[in-house]
Amino acid sequence: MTPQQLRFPGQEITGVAVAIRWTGFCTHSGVLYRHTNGQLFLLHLGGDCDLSHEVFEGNFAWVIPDLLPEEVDEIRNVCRAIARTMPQIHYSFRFDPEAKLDATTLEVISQLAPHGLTCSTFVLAVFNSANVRMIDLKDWQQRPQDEKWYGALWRYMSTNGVDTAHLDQIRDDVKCLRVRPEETAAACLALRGELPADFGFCEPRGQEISRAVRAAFDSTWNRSTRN
Amino acid sequence: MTPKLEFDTQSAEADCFLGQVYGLLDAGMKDQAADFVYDHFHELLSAGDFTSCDAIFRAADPSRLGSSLSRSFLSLTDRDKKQFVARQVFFQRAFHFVQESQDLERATRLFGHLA
Repeated sequence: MTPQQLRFPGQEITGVAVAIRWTGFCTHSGVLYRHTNGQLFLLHLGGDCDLSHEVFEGNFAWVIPDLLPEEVDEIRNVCRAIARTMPQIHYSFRFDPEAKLDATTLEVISQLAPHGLTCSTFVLAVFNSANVRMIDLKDWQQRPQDEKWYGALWRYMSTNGVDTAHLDQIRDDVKCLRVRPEETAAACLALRGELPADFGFCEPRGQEISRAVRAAFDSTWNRSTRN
Repeated sequence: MTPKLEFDTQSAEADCFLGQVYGLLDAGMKDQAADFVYDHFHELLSAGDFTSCDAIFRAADPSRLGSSLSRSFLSLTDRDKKQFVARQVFFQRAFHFVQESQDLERATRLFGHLA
């Protein structure tokens, strides 16, 4: 990955990008898109039924995918449609690479994983809704630390007011494959003809992205604590 | 006579809808045209009104809609595609339009999975 491919505030986004940041304890992703009015908006799933659509304030880095203009247009259309409706989307761990948001209700449609999305799979579902497949899950690897992370998230959700029926539905999903936020961002580094990107492509580049956004966070944190 | 009358009404409504879409596109308001298309299809699909969607597919001109919006028409109706009679013909016209105006590779990438 070249430094130019992971971009930080100040560099232009004309269409769409996947936003990525280090929150202080984990990475978090969303969709950045240029709205009709020229403003840059961030659409992201912050937690259970916590979809946000906000003017981008520059606190994320981003990667711009290599897509055709028509595909970019369609993703922007989907983002604006979501922003008009702001559907309630549950937070859930299991990922279906074909998950989309329904054209009419904007609810998650997925046979394999109907219970919701993570911040990372929300981004992938937005792209899928525009018929742009970013990730190939075929050879994706199960990693022990992912189950630990999902288990910790489930416990956090269970003590923070998430509906118990929903928690029961997703309890066993802590063991499922995880596409990390930085791996969704890494898929955007693939050339158009290489999409959907597989584990071998996304995992090492995701690690690089994770290191870069952590370093950016640390330097900002250090600056703000010095001042 | 009733089915014919209904068909005529739906054709007129489709023409009216498309007239507004073309008007927005001609005015350079591409995003507004897309939002209008999304909202209109959402209404029709939510109501299960597939015959009105079919009337739109019959009347729509891919060369006036452009490749992006033609793709949106197909994307929005992809899930319910078995419900339509005229969608497949619209797909072929849209594919042909992009193939002629751009190239086969691009047409395949944009539309290939939306048949």
